[in-house]
Amino acid sequence: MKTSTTTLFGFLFLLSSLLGSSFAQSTNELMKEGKTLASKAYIVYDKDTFTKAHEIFEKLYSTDSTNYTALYNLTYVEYRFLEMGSRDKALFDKYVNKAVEHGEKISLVKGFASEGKTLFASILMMKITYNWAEAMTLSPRINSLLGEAEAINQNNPRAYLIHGIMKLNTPAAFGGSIKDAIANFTKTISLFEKAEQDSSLLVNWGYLDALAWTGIANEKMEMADAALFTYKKALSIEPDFSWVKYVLLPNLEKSKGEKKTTY
Amino acid sequence: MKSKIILIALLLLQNIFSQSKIKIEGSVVDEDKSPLPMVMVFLANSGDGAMSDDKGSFSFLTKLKGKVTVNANLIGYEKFSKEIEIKDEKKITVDIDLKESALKMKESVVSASSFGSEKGKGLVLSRIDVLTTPGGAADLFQSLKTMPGITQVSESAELYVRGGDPIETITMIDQALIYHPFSYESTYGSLFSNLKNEFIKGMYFSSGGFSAKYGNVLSGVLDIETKGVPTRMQSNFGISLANTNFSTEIPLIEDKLGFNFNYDKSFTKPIFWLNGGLDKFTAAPSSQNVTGSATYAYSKTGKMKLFGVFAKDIQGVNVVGTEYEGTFNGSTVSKFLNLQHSNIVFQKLVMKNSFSFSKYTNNWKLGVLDLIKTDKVFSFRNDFEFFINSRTRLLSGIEYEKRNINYLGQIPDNDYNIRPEAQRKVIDADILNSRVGGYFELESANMFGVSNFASAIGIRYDRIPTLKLGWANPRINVSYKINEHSTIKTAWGIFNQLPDPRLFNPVDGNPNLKSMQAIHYVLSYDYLFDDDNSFRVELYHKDYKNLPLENSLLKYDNNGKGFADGVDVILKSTLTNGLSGWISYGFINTKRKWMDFEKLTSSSFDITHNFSLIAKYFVATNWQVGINFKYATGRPYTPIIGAAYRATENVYEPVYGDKNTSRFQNYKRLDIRLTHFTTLFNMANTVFYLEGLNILDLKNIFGYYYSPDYSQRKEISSYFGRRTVVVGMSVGI
Repeated sequence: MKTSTTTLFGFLFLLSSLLGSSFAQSTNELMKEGKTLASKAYIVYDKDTFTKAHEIFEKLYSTDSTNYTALYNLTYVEYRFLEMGSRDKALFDKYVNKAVEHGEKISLVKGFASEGKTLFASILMMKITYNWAEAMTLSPRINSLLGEAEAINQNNPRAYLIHGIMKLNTPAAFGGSIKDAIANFTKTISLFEKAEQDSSLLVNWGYLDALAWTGIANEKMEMADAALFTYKKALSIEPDFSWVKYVLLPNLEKSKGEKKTTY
Repeated sequence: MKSKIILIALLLLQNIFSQSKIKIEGSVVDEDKSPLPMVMVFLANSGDGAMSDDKGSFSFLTKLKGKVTVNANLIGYEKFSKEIEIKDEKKITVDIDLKESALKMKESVVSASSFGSEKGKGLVLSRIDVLTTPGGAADLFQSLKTMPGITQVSESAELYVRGGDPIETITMIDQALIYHPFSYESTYGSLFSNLKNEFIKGMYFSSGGFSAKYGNVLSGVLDIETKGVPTRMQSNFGISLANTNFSTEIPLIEDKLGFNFNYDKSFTKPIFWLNGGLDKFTAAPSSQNVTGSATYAYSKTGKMKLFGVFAKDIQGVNVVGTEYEGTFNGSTVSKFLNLQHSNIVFQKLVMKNSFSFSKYTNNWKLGVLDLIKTDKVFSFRNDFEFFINSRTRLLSGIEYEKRNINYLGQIPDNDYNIRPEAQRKVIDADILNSRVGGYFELESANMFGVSNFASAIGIRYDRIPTLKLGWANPRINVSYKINEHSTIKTAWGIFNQLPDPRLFNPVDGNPNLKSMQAIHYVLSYDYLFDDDNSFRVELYHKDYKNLPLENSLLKYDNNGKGFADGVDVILKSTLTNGLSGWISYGFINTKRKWMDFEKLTSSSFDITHNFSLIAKYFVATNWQVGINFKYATGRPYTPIIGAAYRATENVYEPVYGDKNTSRFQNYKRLDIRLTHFTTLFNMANTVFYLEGLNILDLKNIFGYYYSPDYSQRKEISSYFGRRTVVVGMSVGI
């Protein structure tokens, strides 16, 4: 009897280990799949692909509410939905509350402090993009989140990216500065280029954004050649980066052409 | 055999591949040969490039062949471009020297005693600070009064800078002088400014030791730059218990042509009706202000801007005087028009010109007093900035001003009797003055070759041809940056200014008065924690000479003198928990022998302690609470110690004690403001606010009025001598 009980426990232990291992494996695979989809979705800027990634991360997070990697990735996709929502009010309204809730949560998770605070700041920044009136209340909060994120990890490129976007899009009378924006984007690019190869399950976002935003800032400074370089560099990294390929670069070339005919 | 073929093919491919890419490498250094990290180095019209590392080194691969251009960009440095030819080399070395741009130099020369609206240039008072200062009514001058160096002599909008009279501070808009930037001028001063916040792009304020650029001024400078071509169409409508306002910005041709317009009408009747005090007025103060500008950018660097203000106001106040009870009626019409042109010529010379005209008419009536003052000013100014090299800049300029002030009407013969039938003097006086001035100033960002030493050494000369007067004013500003956060600054300079134009009146003044003089000594220490957090402490001494002094024979002479010693401290901060604001404190000891002060005496601007605390905090999303607490030592005044009866006029003449030997009670006031930011109808950015001025109902007084025989006195409450509640909203689309 004793032998059969021991055998049974042994079998159950083995089974649970196998199941656990298999579950962990499938979680990791799912996470990788979601991450790939999220990265691809940004390159082609496709809502449906983002939605698929969102479904995966949501499933993973609802299965295990301590899976903060899933929460971070989920929040990241929601940030992108808000970004898309600046031209799609229904999309913005659908995700804004979730994004804020998740952003706040991830910003408080130990171990995600710098990345979490940066992501939460990004979400609050998108709220301002949609509603200027919130700038008065959210700007100080964003600045303090970014300040904390930079203090926790001075090498977090995304913190400098969001700082730069804020600087670029804030009117000068309220503290905006193109020069400060470029300094932040430059730091972002430098940090990304120094970083080791990405092996994490977190979506590694921001490098392409930084190149695109650097180009935009350079255009504002009337440094078209520098803008052209950053756009082309972005395309050399991701030839299908749609924001640059279909919007920024053609616009720059068009304006350069117009200037030639003007002068 | 197969594997050998594959191996050979791979080697060939590798060879071809390695031959097709050339390595471009090098380093980036500045003029001192220090490495510059994070410089973007790239080949023109390609995506090939890299950023320099911490040692200034860079390297990247390219497939391009033939002649290509290597570019390098870093903000604050001149753009680098060099053509190279790529042939069959494996690598090419390109060493890059970047020169600091003139812009960078400009940022490192910061004068003492100043603050402005640009970050990175020291102490900042931004537009948002002005807009959200509780009790400041979004008025620039009222907000400025919370900064160090400006004493709280009264509640008026005039700026009393470091022991100076308000006329010792000038206001300039787009280079043009404006002598009356206020509304509701009365014998107690003015309440607000005529300069609408919507038009302010940037501003610079200095309370001492300022540049040779500014002439005919003793104590302070407020230099305002107005907005140019608007970037987007937007309109704003605001209404409160005290005023209504509409403003719009219209970009007609993107980046080339645009208009800004503002209409403001204030009507104080509702606010007095709600808070009490309407019985004080026969005509509640009301004003109208139309401000507009048109800007045309005719080239990348060339710009013409026409800016104009038309403002008028009226007020009728019941006055209970010692010998007379009646109504003070005041009305003002103010017009200001300025055409400014700016351009960069010969690549390194920035040129700015301004032509302006202003006319100010003010009428005061009280008993026998019935005086119309007309002040017409025509001015021209030309400023040049020449960038000698990346670290040295020569400023120079000339200005011409023609001012014609006319006083027409009647004034009481004796101050103590303003009854309608009192003895009077009839005045029809023209005071004509023209002034020409010019200056040179050399700014250097590396004095004695030391990069942390910055200096501005200048001299200006002003001449008043009609008075055959002229004066030269040397001025020096030196700063030393101890480290990234700390800077020590010092300033010395001589400043001259003509006295109050009224004293040139041939009837009861002296048309041959000379200019007043002040010598400034300033030493300050700045600590910038970061863009949003800064601390400054500043010591100063001012010596006054040639001040106007009453003279029984000449009416006035120039034998007056005085001094002002003090320390100003400010801590300005934006904390991570959403709390922002500033604390400022100023201590001053100032004495003057001037006007009717026969010996060196505490001047009326000797406000020993000045304290301001401004704090703003977001209590919830979209809800902000702000407080503004002010404390100031009471203003000195000359007590009345008795009275003598004048039978001929049937009036008592007061007998005064020693000059300025008494003080009014200390000034204390707490304003609180609750602001809610929201969006209406998904499109209109809306701000609602509820403001409590002097919320604790603390008693503050302007002065006293007396019983006819001066045996009893009563207090005259200040503008905000009682608790006042204001509600309002602003909608922007």
